[in-house]
Amino acid sequence: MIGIGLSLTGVRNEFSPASLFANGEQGGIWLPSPETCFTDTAATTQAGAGDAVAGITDLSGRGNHATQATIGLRPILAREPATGRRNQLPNSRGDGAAIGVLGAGGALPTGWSISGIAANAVEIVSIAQKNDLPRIRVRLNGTPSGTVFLNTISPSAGVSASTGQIWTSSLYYERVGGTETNISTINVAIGESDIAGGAVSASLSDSLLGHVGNVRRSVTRTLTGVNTARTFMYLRFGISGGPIDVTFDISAPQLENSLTATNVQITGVNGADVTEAGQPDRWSFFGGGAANPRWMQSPTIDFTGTDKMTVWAGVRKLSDAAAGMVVELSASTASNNGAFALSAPNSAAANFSYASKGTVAAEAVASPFAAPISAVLTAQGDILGDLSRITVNGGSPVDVVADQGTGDYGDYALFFGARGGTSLYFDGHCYGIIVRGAATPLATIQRTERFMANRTPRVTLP
Amino acid sequence: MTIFIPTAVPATLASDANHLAMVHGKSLDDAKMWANPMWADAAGNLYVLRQLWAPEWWIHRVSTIEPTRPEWDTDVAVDLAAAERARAALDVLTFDLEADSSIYLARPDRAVAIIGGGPELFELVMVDGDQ
Repeated sequence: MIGIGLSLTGVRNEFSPASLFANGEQGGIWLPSPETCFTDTAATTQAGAGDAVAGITDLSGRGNHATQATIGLRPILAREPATGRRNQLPNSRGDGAAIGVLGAGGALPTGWSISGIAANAVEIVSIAQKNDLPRIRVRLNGTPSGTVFLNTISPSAGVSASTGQIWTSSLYYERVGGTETNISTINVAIGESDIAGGAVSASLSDSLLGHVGNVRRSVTRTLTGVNTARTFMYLRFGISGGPIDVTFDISAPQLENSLTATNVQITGVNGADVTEAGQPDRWSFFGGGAANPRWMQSPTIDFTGTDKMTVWAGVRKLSDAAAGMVVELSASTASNNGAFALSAPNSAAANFSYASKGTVAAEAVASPFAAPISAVLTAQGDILGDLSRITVNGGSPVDVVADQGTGDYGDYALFFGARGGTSLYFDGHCYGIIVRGAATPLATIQRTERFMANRTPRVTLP
Repeated sequence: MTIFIPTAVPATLASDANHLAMVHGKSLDDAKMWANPMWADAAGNLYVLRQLWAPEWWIHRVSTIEPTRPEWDTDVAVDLAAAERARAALDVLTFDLEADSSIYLARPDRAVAIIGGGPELFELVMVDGDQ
């Protein structure tokens, strides 16, 4: 009896969003993860971090699974720690590295580069784990032409940054063979450059020369360039002349917008896969705005039995440069009656918005919420009751009570990440979307917000 | 390893480029790869700006291998001549600060893909991104 009682208590305390659909409500639950996402539209091959997703399962039981047939338009399934991504390097893990001399079978990790020494004097000796972190063993054996730069990210690609920001670069280094003869200094460095990759200036860490053992070294820089658009990091070998022969391990390079080097995060698949020891994974869809549009579409969903709607979404908005659609009912709220649109933002502005429309659209706009920003969005629509409401992170709702005309919501597809698949491409991450064709009591709204906040890094509800 | 590869395709080449996309894709849906030209250069020429998500070797293969009919195309929907025109007009560039810090501008007569760079290198402005 006691056991049953405890079990029931546990069930009562555990909220499942599927309960939102227990009374036949229309809609769906789309929560990106390897369990729900597939790389084929037939939903036979599970997706992993960094994969382009062809289909996602609707968990509501309504069968409204969303798909994207065009390979190049599929959202990228991304993973990050529950605390959010800090390491902005796209490939700290060393994906793409190959053992051997560069140009003769060997290869640096994708996106890394080396200069100041001939490629045939650089050898990838081995690739392995060290203290549970991926490490690459490199041998430099030749006569450098000058200072040797081992870039863990292309300085031209870099990481978007701006003047005044404080960034820290760090990595683990250990000399494991050879000597330091003709090497005058070894530093972790952080640089900044303008949009064309020019006007480089940098800061250096304390020298690693003569250090014994595996050491994490970091350097922090306040970006100062008037036109600075990027930051990047590298391992720097000052050369005093003549040949060198040194073998070293490098692991866990990290570049972060921080005053200090924080816990190591390992990044791969061009930044779509970020992990941190001790932190649970959080999964999302990534789409890159108009330059990198990625979106999905549900089957048509018959909302004609209701004029009330509740929508939840966990997002990280990366840009306010142009309007981006999180989810829209029908190909365009502008041209269809009985539609809604949840936008991030609704124009080139620092906002979130929800527009609900019977025959007339009424839009609630919450601002300022400047990108980059993470948020749990809750939208409520009531056509006959003339309510458009948007709530950001469980705060004070923004209500618009203007007339929405008449009618119910329509029988349309939902579009995720774009308007009709042709414009208003969302730039950012989406951690989950729930659309429920009904009004929802406040307590249930708040429980669902907590559920969504738990999936959405960097969001804390009141 | 899969990487983002920014591409700028002039609107006048987009149709041909989509046939090339189908050659290396899996269905007619890949004809939508370069759609909606909403970016312009200083002269007003329109482009489709897209970041591909593909292995580096893949874009090299697209640019060097003569298009052949994909197995799925049993209805002969792919125009191989158009695909070949797109392939011949495709430049695959590698951005390397140490070698060349110049900006890669989009070209109205060429499709350009840049490995190791970002879409801002094309210096295009959005002209039709909102509504």
